[in-house]
Order: sequence, then structure tokens, then C-alpha cells
Amino acid sequence: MRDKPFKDASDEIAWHFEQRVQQYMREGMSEAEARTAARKQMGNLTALTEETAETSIFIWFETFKREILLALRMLRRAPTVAAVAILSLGLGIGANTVVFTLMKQVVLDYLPVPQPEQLVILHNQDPEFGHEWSNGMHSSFSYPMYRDLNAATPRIFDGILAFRAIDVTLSGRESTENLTGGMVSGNFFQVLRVAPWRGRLLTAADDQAPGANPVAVLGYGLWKRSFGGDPGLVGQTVVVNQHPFVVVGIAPPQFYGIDVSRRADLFVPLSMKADVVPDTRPLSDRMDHWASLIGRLKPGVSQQQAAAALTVIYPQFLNQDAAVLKLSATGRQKYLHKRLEITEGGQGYASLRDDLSNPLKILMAMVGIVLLITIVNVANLLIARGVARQREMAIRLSVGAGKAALMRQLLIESLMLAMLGGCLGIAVAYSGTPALLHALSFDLSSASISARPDWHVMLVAATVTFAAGLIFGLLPAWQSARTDVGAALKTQGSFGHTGGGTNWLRRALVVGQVALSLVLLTSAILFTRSLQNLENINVGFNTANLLKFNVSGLQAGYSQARIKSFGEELRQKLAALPGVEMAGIATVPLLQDTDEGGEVTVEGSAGLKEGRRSYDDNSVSPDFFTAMQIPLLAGRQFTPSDSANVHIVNETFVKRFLPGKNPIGTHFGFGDGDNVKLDQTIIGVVADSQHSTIRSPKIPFVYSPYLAEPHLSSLYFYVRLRSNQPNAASAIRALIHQMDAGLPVNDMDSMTEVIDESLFVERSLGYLSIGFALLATLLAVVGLYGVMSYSVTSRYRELGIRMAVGATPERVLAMVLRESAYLGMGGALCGIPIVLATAGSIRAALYGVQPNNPVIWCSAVALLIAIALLAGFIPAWNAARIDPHSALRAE
Amino acid sequence: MARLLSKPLQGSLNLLILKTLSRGPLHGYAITNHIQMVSDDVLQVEEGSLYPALHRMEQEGWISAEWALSDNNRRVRFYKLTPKGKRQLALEEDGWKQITAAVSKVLKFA
Repeated sequence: MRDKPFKDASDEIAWHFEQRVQQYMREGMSEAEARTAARKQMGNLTALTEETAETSIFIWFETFKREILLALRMLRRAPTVAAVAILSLGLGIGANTVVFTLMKQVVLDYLPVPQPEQLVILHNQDPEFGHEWSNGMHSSFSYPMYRDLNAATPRIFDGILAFRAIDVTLSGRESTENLTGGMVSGNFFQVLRVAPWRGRLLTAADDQAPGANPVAVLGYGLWKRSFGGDPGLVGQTVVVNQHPFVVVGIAPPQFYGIDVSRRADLFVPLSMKADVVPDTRPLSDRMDHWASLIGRLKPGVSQQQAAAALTVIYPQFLNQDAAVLKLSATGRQKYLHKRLEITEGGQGYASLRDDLSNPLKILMAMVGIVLLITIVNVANLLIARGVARQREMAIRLSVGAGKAALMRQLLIESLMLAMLGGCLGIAVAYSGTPALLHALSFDLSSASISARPDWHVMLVAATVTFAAGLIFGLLPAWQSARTDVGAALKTQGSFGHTGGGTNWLRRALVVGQVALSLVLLTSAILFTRSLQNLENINVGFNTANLLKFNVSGLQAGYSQARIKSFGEELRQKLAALPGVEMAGIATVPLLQDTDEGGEVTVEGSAGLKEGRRSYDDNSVSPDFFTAMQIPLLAGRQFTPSDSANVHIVNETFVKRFLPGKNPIGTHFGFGDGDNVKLDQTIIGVVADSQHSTIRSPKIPFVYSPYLAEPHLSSLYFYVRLRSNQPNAASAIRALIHQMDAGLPVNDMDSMTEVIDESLFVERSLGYLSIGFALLATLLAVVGLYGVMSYSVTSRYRELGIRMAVGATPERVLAMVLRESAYLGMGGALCGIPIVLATAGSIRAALYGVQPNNPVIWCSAVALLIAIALLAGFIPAWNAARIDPHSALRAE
Repeated sequence: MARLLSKPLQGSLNLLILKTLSRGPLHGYAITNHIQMVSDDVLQVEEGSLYPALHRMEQEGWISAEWALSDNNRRVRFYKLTPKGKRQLALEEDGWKQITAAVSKVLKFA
């Protein structure tokens, strides 16, 4: 760029010099004399070259600077227009950047490992038998099955890794920390191709004999946070869940395990399961499913080829399962036909992705629409400004400015606006992302999600800004390029209007704006209704004055007998506390997205179709139903002396399996197949209540006596308080501290808080959609108001004449209002098809309300027309007060 | 012979160049030659003023430049008047006539 002007100038001046020398020689000088004379005539050639070249460069910069300055001056001349444009653009771009920052990390990003696209997740199909200990959303495998699969597939995979997230209590030098850790296969880091930051990572040798290798790898964050990045930590011992482990290495900074929403801070081999997990089942149990599997495909092996190969390999291992299960012939046939499915795994697991991906997409669409409305609004403003500047443009055209130059000037102005708006937007994004995370009550400490937009996001924001500037800049530029010089110059005063075509364009833009607002308004109404429905769900028990907490006996090193005696003792002492009515215990927490279950075979209900025999269960204490205020419909509650084979079922269980029969005393068995023993007895029936989440469908439920349960770990206490007991929590903590000072009390919360928390996605979506709908409607009002007042101003004379020949002010008012209402109605009519077309994509996010419910979009339409009337009122009022005399005299 | 250099006539240099180019495209050396010849050696355009002026006028869009090859295959830069330059020439010619008329009125009056 800088060199070319120099080369050009130098060539040009050298040639000039030669010409002069030749002329002097023609005039009779010798060559030497001619050169001296030419040099004397032309002066310093280098200086001349530089001066000439710099003139070009300098002028280029000058022109550029002049255009920018001119643009800035023009913006300053209309500060309101500029401020409204920059502000609304800033909000629009900012909102998009905020949502995209989250969207990118939660929905789009891959694991920070080499070639993540080679990774695939392995899925197990139903039917499943035995014990399942899952993270909820992905299927799990037994340890023997994992070893078999990994050993049998060296030609398909560069290794399969196994992972299981666990709760870890790390007793460090000074304090005790609760964090998330991972039990991982020995090849975990090799398969992911992660290199150690310090020391070494785990290897296959660490994952052999059960309990033989107490070694751990620490996450970089934990190492920095809790050990000050001490390089001497490698080789030292830390205490994990009461067992000593030697730290062999530190994982690199970016690495968070395989779930972006649940960062793992510490990794131990799967073979150490007995030391870190409160579960007594041996590693070799083929019926204990708990490990998630991810494989790395060998280069050149496609997902389809891998799936095909696994279909051949899998049945032989299922056969070994079946041998343990002692299945009936048909059950065995069915079991052997189970398939192993694989899906893309480059993004790892993310419980958050499953929860938030749909709401985030909806949010992204909403902010996208807001930005679109903003752009339309700014385009509208600029066109209005273009009309006001028509005379200026005409004058510049008539003194010889090219149309291209004018359009360039207008585009530069638009791009300046966009740039300023974009800067504001980025500022909004920086402060808004933490706010949004906060609004989503999002705990960053446990997830590996950053609240800062990264450079990818910035690049997208910059592109959006530039595109926005082009879009809203081109329309007015094109419009003004069509300026008819003569007509514009002939029009005197401010009342003339030459913008018939402009007005048409502006109306179309406003109609588009209203249409898009309708979409946002409708979804805001839908999400609010859905939220109301959810908040008013009858969960089947009384949520007021109910406190919950849990204690983990196994983490404290209690035996099974000690857990039970402790539970009963605490339950009775709690009930004796002043202010407490009753306390109950469950082994599966309520409304916290957790469930346990299987299939049942009930006496006399053999005809039921497959898939209709599943149930959920929970083991509970005596008095549990009294404490929860779940009505007992028949039979009795549990007593401390109940054996493991008596159960209480819910209403849905009776309706599905025993319609019209007396359920009390009926026998049933757990499992599905021909030889299930019907050795369980129903002793009571309770009313239905929500268990896993407040919106899960009703499912047959089986309650069992927890005191007869063989594998207890955590106990979840539910304490019914008398009304207004603000000190109950501290009294309970003091009581437990008195019983065992070393036992931690976890997650003490009121049940209403639990429900609030479980609705956080719906609530955020509800509030944010209202916010966006308000913003969109406000922008539409601004647009409508602008068009209507321009329409009134440009018809000043016409309206004056009408009034002079007898139109009453009321009629003029009505006429203008009608026009505004038509615009609103037109927009709403255009919006309805969009609403109906997008209905399907938000149906899944709604509860108890249909997205294409005509009552809802009709009310949105009515609301918009009312708003259009409101926006048109001031212009209409002004029109009605036109004084016919001065109107006729104007111009 | 007394020589009026172009320096004092800085303002009129643009006019001289534009007028010279109105006859057709020329290179820089030919422009100086033409002005010197037509003015009977009274006006000599210095190279130190000519080239910066040419480049400035090019940026203003009054003239456009093009490279061509000379007989002995050297790169030569030719300048050509643009429509915008023609309008500018008209403006400057008017201006010049007004100034000279004004100056001669002053001279006659004294």
C-alpha cells in the first residue's frame, strides 16, 4: 500500500529527468553537462519523489478522515436520531452477544482435546436389569461390560474410556472441601489425548486390581485454588472420602473432564470405586450399571462402520449377562437383541446442554428478532432523516457531487452508527453475561463456563454489527440516490413532501416491525401462562413450612446398622423439637430430578402391554406420609418393624394394575418375565404426588420401608414445621452437631425454594420473554409514531383544506387514528402466520398451554392494535388542532 | 529575459494544468514543455510543484492517470481530464477572468 505510490512517483520523475537530459543534449550540451543542468533544474530528485508520493497517501487519508468527520458531524446535527439508533442497536447487539456467549459454551463448543470429532458416546438400550446408578440422561454400563468392550474393539477404537462423576470430600491441609470428582478408566487421558501439566496422568496400570492403586490426578483449578499451585504436591498424599490417595500429577488448565456443566476437579481410577463411593457392590458385578463410555474412533473408521461392528460384537457379552440373570427363554431372546448405539461425542456429556439447549435456542431466536426489529427501526429513522435532508442532498448533487459519492457518505454514516452501537453492545455483553447467568441462577463455581465473551463471540458480534450497518444503511442510501434534484430544490419550506415513495417504504417497514413484535408478544404471553401453570401445579403434598436437608452416613464412615439407628434417633429428636410437627425420611430426594425404578409384575394383571409395567420407587420412614401430608387412602403406613417385602403404592399404581380391585393384600413381584416371584405385598395406598419433577407425568409408585433396605447411603429428611419458624434450620443444625459433631448437614432448604429452583429455566424464559416483548413493542411504537407524525406533517395543507370545508376536528382525529390502527392491524395480520409457523418449535418448552391457542394470539393482536392507536394518538391530536387559516397560508 | 516562475502563481497552476490537459492526454514533461512554449518561455513550471500538484488533482478526481509504454519500452504516466475536471476548469477559468479584470481595473484607475 505504501510502496506503490513511491514506485510510481520514482518511475515518473526518472522518466521526466531523462526527457530533460535528452532535450538539453539536442540543444547542444554534452551528456555530462546536460545531466548537471537537468539536476540543477529539477532539484533533489529523491525529495521530489517523496513529496509527490506523500501527496497521494496524505490526500487519501485526508479524504477518509474528512468523510468520517463529516459523518460524525451529521450524526451530531441530529442527536436524538443518533442516540436512539445507537442505544437500540447497542441493546440489540448486546443481547445477542450475551445469549450467544452462553449458547456457544453450552450448546456449540467441543471438548478442549485434540480431534474431538473422533469421539463417540456409547448408548445402551432397554431392557435393563439389575442396579442402575445413572446421571439421569445417559445410559450406563457395568465395569465388566466396559472391560470386555474395550478389549474387543482395538480395530474400531483407539480405546474406549469409562467415566463416572462422583461427590468428593477432599480433606486437605487446612480445610475440608466438597467437590465433583471423576472415577475414570486407566486409559481416560490417553483416549482424550490430554498431556499432563505436572507429574503424570493415570495409565492402564493404575486401573487393575480393585483397591490396589490409591492414586489421584488433580484438576489445574483445584491445584491452584486449594494448594496455591504448589509444584511439590505431586507425590504427596491427600485424603479423598476418608481414604488416602497419592497425587501423581496435575491435569492441564483447560481440561474440565467430559461435562462442561459439571467440572471434575479430581480423578481417581475406577478400580478404587470401593474407597470413594458409598456403595458396597463389587466392581465385578455384571448387573451393576454405572459407567458412561466414550470411544475414540480410529482414523478412517466411520460412525456407521463402528456401529455395524459393535452389533456383531455386543451379543456375546450380553450372553454373559444373561447367564448371570437366569432369564426365561423369551426374556433372554429379547435381551440378546439389545443394540449398542453410538452418537457423536465430541462435545462430551452435559446435563446442562439437555436442560438449556432448547430454552437457549428460543432465547437466541427472541434476541435475533429484537435485533431485526432494531435494524428495521433504525432504517426507518434514517429514511425519515433522508427525507429531511433531501434538499441538502439535492444541493450537493447540483454542485457536482456524484450519486456514488453521496451513497458512500450515507453508508459511512450508517456504518459509524452501527460501529458505535456495536461498541455499546459489547459493553452491554461484558456486563450483561454475568447478569444473565445470575438471572438463570447459574452456579459458575461448579461448571466450566466463562461469563466473558471470547474472541469468537466478538467476531460474530462485529460481523452482525457490520451487516446491520449495511442493511439499514443501504435502504436510505438507495432512497436518497433517487432524489430528484429539480423537485427537491423547488420545494420550499418544511411542509412540502416529495417522499410519496419513501412513505410507502416506511409503512412497509413499520408493518414488518409490528409483525415481529406480535411474535415476541405471543411468546411472552405463552411463557408467562406456562410459568403460572407450573407454579400452580398441585404437587400432591403440602409444600409450605416444609424443610429438607440430607446427611450422608457413608461419607462419615457409618455402617448400615449405624445409619438406620442414627436415622431413627434423629427423626424422633426432630419431632420433639419445639416448632416441629413431624419429620420423615426418604432415600431418594423429592423434586430434584432424581428417580429410581424398574418393572413390576402384579398378580392378575398379566395382560398389560410391555412398557406399561414400569414404576418408580422410594424407601421411606414411618410417619413419612404424615410429615409430607400425603393422604393415606387405604391400609396403613410403615412401622419400624416392617420387613422388606411390604409396600405402599400410589393411586396410579392401583388404577393401572388393579382397577376395581381391593389392592390391600395383593401380591406382586419386581422384574419382568415368566418366572418373577410374586413375593411382595401391598399394605397401603396413598394419593398421587409429584416425585422426580413437578411436571413429570403420573407413574405407578412403590414405597418401601427404608429400615429394611440393605444399601443405604444418604438420608433425605423432610421436616414439617409449625407456621413461621425462622430459627428452625439453626436449631436442627445444633441438634445434629450435638449428636455427631463430624457429620456434615447438606443442602438445607425450604421445599418452596426447591420448587423455585426447579423452575428456574421456565421462570427466566418467562421474565426474559416479557422483557424482550416490551422492548420490541416500544420500538414498534417509536416506529409507528414516527411514520404517523410524518404523515400528518406532510398532509398539513390537505388536512387544513378538509377542515376549512367542514371536517370537524373529531373526524380528522378519527381519520388519523384509523390509519394508525390499519398499520397495526396490517402488521398483526402479517405476524399471525409467523406465530403459527413457529408454534411447533416452542411447544416443548410450554406446560399446560398450546402455542397455537387462538385466544392467546387474538389477545396479542388486540393488544398491538391498542398500542398502535396509542402511538397514533399524539399525531392525530396534532392533526385535529390544525388551524385551517395558517395551513392554507403556509407555502 | 525576466522569467515569471510558477511559484507566485501557485493558485493558477491548477488552471494551467487543467487547460493544458483539455487538449488531450499528456505526460508530466509534455505539460511543462507545453506551458513554457505557449507562454513564450514566460511561464516555467517547476518539477517540484508540478508533480505534487498532479497527484493532488488526481486524488481530487479532476484528472485521471494511466501508465503507457514509450517507444523505448519505458513506463510513462499520462494524465487525462475527467468530466469533474472539466467542470473545475470552467470554474477556475471564470475565477481567473474575474481576478484579471479586477486587477486591470485597479491598474487603469491608478
